[in-house]
Amino acid sequence: MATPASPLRRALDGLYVVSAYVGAAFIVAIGVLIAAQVVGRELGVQVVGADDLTAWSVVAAGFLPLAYTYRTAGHIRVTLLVERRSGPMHRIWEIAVMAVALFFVGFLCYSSFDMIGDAIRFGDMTQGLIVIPMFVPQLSMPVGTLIFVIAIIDDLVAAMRGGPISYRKAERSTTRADITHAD
Amino acid sequence: MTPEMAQIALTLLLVLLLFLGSGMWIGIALLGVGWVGLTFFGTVPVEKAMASSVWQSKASWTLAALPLFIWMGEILFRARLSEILFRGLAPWLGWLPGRLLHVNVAGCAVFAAVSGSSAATAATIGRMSLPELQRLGYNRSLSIGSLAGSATLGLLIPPSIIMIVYGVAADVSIIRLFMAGVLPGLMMAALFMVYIIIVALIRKETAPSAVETMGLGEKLRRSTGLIPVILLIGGVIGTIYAGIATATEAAAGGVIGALILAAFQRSLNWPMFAESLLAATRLSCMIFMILSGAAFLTTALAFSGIPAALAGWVAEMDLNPYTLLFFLCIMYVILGCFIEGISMIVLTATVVLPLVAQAGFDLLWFGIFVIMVVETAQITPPLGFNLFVIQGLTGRGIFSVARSALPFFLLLLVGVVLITVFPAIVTWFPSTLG
Repeated sequence: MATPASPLRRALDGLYVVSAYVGAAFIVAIGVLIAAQVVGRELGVQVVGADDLTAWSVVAAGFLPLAYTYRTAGHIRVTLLVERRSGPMHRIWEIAVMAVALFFVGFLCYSSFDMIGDAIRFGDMTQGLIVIPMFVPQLSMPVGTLIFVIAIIDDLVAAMRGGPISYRKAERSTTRADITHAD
Repeated sequence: MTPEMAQIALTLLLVLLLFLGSGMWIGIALLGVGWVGLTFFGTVPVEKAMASSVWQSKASWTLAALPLFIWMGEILFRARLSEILFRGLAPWLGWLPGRLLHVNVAGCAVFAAVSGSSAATAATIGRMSLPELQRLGYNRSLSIGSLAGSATLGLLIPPSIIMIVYGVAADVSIIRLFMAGVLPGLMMAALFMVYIIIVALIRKETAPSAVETMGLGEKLRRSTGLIPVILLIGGVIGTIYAGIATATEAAAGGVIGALILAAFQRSLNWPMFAESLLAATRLSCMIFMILSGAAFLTTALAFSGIPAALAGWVAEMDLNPYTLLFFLCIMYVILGCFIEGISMIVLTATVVLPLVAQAGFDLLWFGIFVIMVVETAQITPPLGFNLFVIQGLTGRGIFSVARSALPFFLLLLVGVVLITVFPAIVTWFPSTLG
């Protein structure tokens, strides 16, 4: 049964994991920035623009791991009714839910590209101590949501071919306690 | 409230229920309801409003506390903390009627303070304490019940993830919320312990009588493991209270402290570091998605004027404010059977907060009230969220777990009534802040 993973499969899985690790790196960056600010304050040195950098990192840490979180069943949902269904009905149901999710996440992605498009067109600059084009820190939103869109399409294709759905696999292999072990 | 507006509100509510019931991810469901509202009943272009409302609410320095506190919890979760707590606390609680059952309460209170999550607390402490209590012959039902009840302390004792979420949603100072939770949290721990003492005095067979006697030196030696944990919690809460650090700064300090603590415990290594960080990334990403959906929904609803109209409508009805609280309470307890705490707060904040403010309640007080109600909802028999976590630990039927948790569920309700009758339990401590 176990066929070697295709290059496309490996590339996609790599994309999800790498984007999650980049998101994780932004969490480390937040910690380092804040620690630097505190130490700097004690020494009387101002860390220039740390507040802005922190705020931008928060968005990057929130958006880049979206796809990975989705595939590992990290996003929560009410499964009370879903769990009861099984067989082909269940698959059709999941496909419908994914299709609707794809539409809304796709819209968020479109809206994010629209946002940075406006920022580029009007030449918006950031306000604060670090002055750079506004679209640079905002980039994490279109990029993160685009990878999320790819992940949902990936699953939709798999589901329609009768293959496994990533988050269902993750939902089944983790106990409820593990999935929700912090809230 | 115009009939037209009521119609829109009802439509959106139905769409939300449909999405949630179908198994849609909660963050995306909120995004979707906002999209429906703005597309069909709004006047601004949706694609302009969506991303910018998310960006404006999420690019926030305050919100940086969230991933950091989650990471701190994930590190400690992997640092054999439950074992240290059990060994360290047991010698000091053995003399109380009910003996080691109090370890559940005290252990949960301490662990909750660092993890900020009730399900994590139940899973971590329970994995350690339940088998041990059973081996020593303690009453099974009381062991399970006290675990279920005490684990919910995680939401009240700072640093609490849910308080950060509420603070962001209600625009209430996170520092004041943290401080407001301290007394109610201690009060609930005391109520649980008193209950255990009373039961143990009435029914002697609840706890075995044999108790290890040891000298003070031995007790202290066994408790040395507790010192770093207490320093860490004391450091986080103390620096915030003293005004030395903001919640975000204390969170960064907490991560560093947790890493040092794990290093001392010799549980810090590269896989553990990466695993804790990735787990924190996943968890904060999940919360971010919900908050992002809610941010857009809030914007969409503000354009429609529904929350304000609803608040005005409730004001016109001239409802007794406590009747309003009573209805909210029932709504949350029902919601608690399907949805975990953070989603519940985010889901309802847009509509509920204007109502509560309109009725004249302090939003700081209401934050603690709603968090306590959410806590209670987590162990609502027989469907509360934490009951399933404990069921997973014990392998017992959900109804058996629910029956064990019932007295503690009722005690939590008593706690909710107490802070309603004596709001000073909540508001006094933060009022001593400068």
